[in-house]
Amino acid sequence: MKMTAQSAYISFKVSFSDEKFFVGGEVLLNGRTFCDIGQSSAIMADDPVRTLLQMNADQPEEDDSALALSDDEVGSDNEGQHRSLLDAITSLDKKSRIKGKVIQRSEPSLQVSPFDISSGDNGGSRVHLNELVGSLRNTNQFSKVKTQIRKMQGRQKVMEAPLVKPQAQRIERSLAYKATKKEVSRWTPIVRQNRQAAQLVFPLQQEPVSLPTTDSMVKTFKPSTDLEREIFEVLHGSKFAERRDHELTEAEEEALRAMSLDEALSRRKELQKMRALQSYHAAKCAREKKIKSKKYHRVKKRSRLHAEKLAIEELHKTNPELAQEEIRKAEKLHAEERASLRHKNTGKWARSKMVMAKFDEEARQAISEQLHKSRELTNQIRALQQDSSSEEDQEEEEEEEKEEEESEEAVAMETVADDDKNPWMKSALKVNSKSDQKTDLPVEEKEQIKTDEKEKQVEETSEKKVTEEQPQIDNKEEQEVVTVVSKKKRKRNKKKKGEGNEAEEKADWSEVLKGEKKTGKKRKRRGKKTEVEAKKSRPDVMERSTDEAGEVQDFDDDETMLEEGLERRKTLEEVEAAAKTPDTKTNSAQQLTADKATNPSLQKQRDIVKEVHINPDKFFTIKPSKLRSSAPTYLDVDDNIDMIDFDQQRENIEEAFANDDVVSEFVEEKRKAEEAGKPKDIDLFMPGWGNWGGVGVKANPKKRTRFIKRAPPPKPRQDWGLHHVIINEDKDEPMKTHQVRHLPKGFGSVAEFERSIRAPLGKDWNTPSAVAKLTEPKVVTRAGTIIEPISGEETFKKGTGKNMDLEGIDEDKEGGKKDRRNRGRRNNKNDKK
Amino acid sequence: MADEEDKSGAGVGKLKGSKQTKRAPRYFDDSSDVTSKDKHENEKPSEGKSEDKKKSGKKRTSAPDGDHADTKRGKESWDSDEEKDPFPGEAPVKEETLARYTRGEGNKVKMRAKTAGPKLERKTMEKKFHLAAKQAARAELLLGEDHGYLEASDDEDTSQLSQTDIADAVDISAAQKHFDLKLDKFGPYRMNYTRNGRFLVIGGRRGHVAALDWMSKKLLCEINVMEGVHDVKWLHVETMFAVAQQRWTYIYDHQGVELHCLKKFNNVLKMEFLPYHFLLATASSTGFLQYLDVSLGKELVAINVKQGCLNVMTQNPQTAVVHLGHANGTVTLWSPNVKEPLAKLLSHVTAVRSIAIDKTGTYMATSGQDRYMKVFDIRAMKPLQVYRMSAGAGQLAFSQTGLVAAALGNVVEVYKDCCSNVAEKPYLTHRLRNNISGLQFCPYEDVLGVGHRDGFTSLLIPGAGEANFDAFENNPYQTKKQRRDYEVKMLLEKIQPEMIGLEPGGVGQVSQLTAQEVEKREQEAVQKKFEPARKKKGRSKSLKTVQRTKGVEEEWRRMKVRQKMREEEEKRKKQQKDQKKKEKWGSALDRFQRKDN
Repeated sequence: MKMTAQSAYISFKVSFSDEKFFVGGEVLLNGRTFCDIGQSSAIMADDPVRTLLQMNADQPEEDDSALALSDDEVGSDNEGQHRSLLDAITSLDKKSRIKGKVIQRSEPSLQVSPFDISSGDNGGSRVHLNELVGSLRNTNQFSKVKTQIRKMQGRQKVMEAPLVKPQAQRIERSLAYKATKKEVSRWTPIVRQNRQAAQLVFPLQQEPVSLPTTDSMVKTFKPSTDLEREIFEVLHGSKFAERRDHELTEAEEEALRAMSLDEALSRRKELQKMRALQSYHAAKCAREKKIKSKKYHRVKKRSRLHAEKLAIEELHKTNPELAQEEIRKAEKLHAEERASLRHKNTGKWARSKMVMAKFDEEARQAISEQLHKSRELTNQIRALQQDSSSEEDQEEEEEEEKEEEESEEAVAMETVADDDKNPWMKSALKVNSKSDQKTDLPVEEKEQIKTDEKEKQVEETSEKKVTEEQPQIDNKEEQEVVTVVSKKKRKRNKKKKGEGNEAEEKADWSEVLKGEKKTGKKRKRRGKKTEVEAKKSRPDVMERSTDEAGEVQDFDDDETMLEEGLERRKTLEEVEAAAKTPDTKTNSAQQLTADKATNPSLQKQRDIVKEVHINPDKFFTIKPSKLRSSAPTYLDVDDNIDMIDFDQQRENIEEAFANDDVVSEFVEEKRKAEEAGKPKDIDLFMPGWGNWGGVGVKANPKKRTRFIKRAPPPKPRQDWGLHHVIINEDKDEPMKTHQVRHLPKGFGSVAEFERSIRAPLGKDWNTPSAVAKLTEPKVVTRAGTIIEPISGEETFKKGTGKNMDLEGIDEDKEGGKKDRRNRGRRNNKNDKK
Repeated sequence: MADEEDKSGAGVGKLKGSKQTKRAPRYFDDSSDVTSKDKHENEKPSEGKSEDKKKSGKKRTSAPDGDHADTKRGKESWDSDEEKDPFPGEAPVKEETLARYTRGEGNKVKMRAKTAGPKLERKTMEKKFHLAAKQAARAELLLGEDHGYLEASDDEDTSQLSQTDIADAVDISAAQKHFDLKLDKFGPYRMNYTRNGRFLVIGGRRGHVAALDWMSKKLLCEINVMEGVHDVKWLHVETMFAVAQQRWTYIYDHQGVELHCLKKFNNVLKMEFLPYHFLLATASSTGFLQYLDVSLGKELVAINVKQGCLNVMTQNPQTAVVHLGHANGTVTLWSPNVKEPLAKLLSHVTAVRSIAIDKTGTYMATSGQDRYMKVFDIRAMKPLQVYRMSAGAGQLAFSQTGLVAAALGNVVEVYKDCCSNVAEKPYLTHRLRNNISGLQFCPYEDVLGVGHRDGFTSLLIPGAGEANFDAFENNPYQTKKQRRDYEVKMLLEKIQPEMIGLEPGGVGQVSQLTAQEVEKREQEAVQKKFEPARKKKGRSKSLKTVQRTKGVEEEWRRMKVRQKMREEEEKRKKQQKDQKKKEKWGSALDRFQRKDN
């Protein structure tokens, strides 16, 4: 039989084998303690008793029988008794052996019960609950006690024994830590938020400041002075006052009520209309008032005067008396004008205008206008009719004057042109005048050609001398110009025709020209829609074609070169296309033949040019383009100043001997700079070290190389690939004093850092608001405000219940603090006492 | 040919819009341009009408259906109007404009969690940069003025227009800016405008120096220095200018009083003033490039260029680097900090005659005796355009809008758009009687000043001046008080000369140690010796000190050895660990091995 019982205070297991000796199992409470517990708290005492009861209930009848047997046999036979006892014992022994159960005990010896519970060694002195209440089982009475005991056994929850001090403290600490952690951790979002905040403005808790709205002002307004009170009464007391939540005033409503519905409606409509009209009028007046145009006002005034005049005339006919009155009014005005200094040139405005008048036509006009007005007003009153007519007359006069001036200007221009004897200007004027005669070449172009030819002659001579060094030979140049032009055109063609027809993209010069014409035609077509446009476009096309012709002539030999280049590419289609444009084609062809016939030497030259062109010239990679600049009538000689003379001389000499060495000198210099910039090997070889030394002894080159410290490979130069540039690689020492030495913390790379300071923050480069934003300080403290330390109460004011709980803790803590403080005070007081 | 096609659609009038006078003329504000005025008058009423229509239309729609309450108690209707924003969100910004103000690509900060720290800070800064760029782009709205250009109609060419044509077409105040000073007695003239374009100083070769408010033609001073004058230059304000005379350089004030005689700066031929650094750079015929700190009155540095006479000089306004042109066709770039040229550029095969750099520091135009004009991208040091001219340009000048003026003997030619594109013909030309010796565009005006042998000529070049000026930077309408404040401010914001370098943002770079420097440092660290402290009363005897030093040094050595041993041990352990790991798990690449083997 096995029984387990758990003690309330000390838990250990006992397995029972012999009921005889341990009836009812282990009782863990001795009688006294049980009583104690029973006295102190019945609930706690419940449990062990119940266990006992249960145990009793579980025990088989053997127990009782054995007991009974023993009781019976006492009196009958000692021997028999003894035998039976032995039997019993042996049987017991057998049983136990069969069962093979071993008594198992676990006894925490170190723990000392505060209730003096022994660990079970002194079994004799122990009182088991069974023994005390075992008999209850057999009775039907004491049901109350029984249930109590049962209950007690069922619960089994009993207060633990107070732990050892360090252990208890440890637990306390861990709990306290948990609580504190919880309490502190609720601050983490706030702390994070504050840290992340772009700007903190202290004090953090601020009451929102807002300007009072008019509504709020109106609501809270109370008239204080008499005047205010009166006005208030008028506004609020009368029935004509507007009401906040009503459309109509009281009086209006009354009126409406008094009227019939139709009447009211019509009246209301009328009112609406009136208001609308009024607002229109107001808007119109406002707009008209804003108009700054003087002309507009002049016209307006004139019309007004005219209307008045008409009205007076009308009055003359209908009501002469009223007309008389009007005339009297005008007279009065006239008299006033004469009396006052108005419209004389004495006012501030007039004086300022006078200053301007010298330069400003408008000011002059304004002044004259004013004078005219004053004259008009001060003169005898004429009929108003005459006035208006005179104004018109004046305007006409002005116009005439203008025309005269213009003609004068034109004359002046012509004279100037004559004076200048500037062929340019002459040509320009001629071009202006003879816009129709476009077929002739403009004078300018002719000149251009002449100068070109001159240049060519000069350069051809020089070419023969230095062909290789000087790549900028005229022919080539021009060729390049043409190619550039043609490229451009091709691009444009692409744009116009779209990318679909690629065959046309490869079009040659003539093709391009054809394309041009096509576009011209297109334009013409477009132009037909409106006559004006057509007028514009036609001469345009004309001009273009002529210009083309001019250009062709200008670059005639280049044209031939181009032809040569393109003949290779020609396809049948293109030939056909070329045949369709016979004019230019034939023209160019003629030139080609002419060219070939006249100077066959040209081709040779061209070949040389080509060679130079193939040779990659590192230094002047860009192909020169020609500017149509005008040639100066060169007057560069200056006799008087020695300095200049010297310079001039030198320059002339240099120009004469176009410095060929310049390039090679530069190359040499660059090479030297590169050489100097390279890190050098360090030779640490010492003669005689690890070797025989002395005169005539040669060191082993292998050993020698061993002592040479190799330099790291050189950094790529900044001017790498730029053949015409040498950049000084030496560090700018003074600049270093201002630079950052080490990469600041938090940056991954130099580039990252440099990027982070790339944008300027100052007001010279940014808008004011952006500057404020860019330079805003992390912390702002308001002057004159108290900055309280952050408090949980305020920050968690809107928190949930959880927060409230924590707040409780907070308060507790604070309370504790207070206590401590108080204690301190008390102590102090005590000390003082 | 190609050009004609470009313009065939466009030009109608001779002076299209005559935009060159769009900027408010200086003195006579009321006298606005005649042609433009007419235009305005024509336009304005119509605009008014259209607006009016809109307004009235609104009212008409609101009037019939809305009760009179609508008009009567406007407040409620107003509120409702305000609620409905027809253009919700912020106003969009054009990509191109935004690109103009974004300064390079930003850092792309990747953040795993939202934590405070440098990463977050950088991210917020990036956002702010973007915001600043956006606002700057928005603020372009305020730069309402536009420098216009002359546009020719089909049958004519802008280069055919003479100055008289232009002067006749423009308003009276603009026309007055074309004038001629006939001073044929005092030889070729050098000239210089102040940074705000108000004042002009001219210096004749034969000693005549005059400073004037050129717009009002009010003479500030006129002196004869009785000596040859090679160059004149305004200093930071219009109260002082420097004159490079035959022997020395002098500084005069605006009344012609000699303030300083700089005897160290002798035989100067060309001068440049670096306004932000307060440096006057001079190039002399003795081959010296000298810098004078004007704020301190001290010579900063004198560099022997070793290239002979220096008569071609200009400055890069963006980086304050001085460019010198030499007889051997090279252009050298100088800063006062380095005695060698920062860079050397071979631009011509003959002597360089003139250099000019545009205000953004992007383009450099050079001209040589070889009759070429070349345009370089000075940032990349690469040539962009090469032009063959009819003569070598003796003077070159860039305008604020990127026009290039070249003086070919006695002809001034102005080229438009000749840097990034190929120009084929001049934009404007003007022929003078005599050789040109000085050329400068007047800042913030459509004016080109030309100094020549017969005096000074002011030419009208429509579209040359910047139309929108920043009054904090350069104020053409500066008052006396403002000028004083400005001077103080400039001095406070003076940039130190050490910051001059090839790159304008050089200060923001990290100066990393070179390998040599690192080595040097290491060596220094090794050679560091223990110096025993002095002790009192015979304890600092030589033997003792030697013993102590020895002991300490021994200890150092041991420490080092120990550290080294520790490191090696760690290394060995790690290797072992790796080895073990490898033995246990095999190589990571084993999984790709064939299973059957």
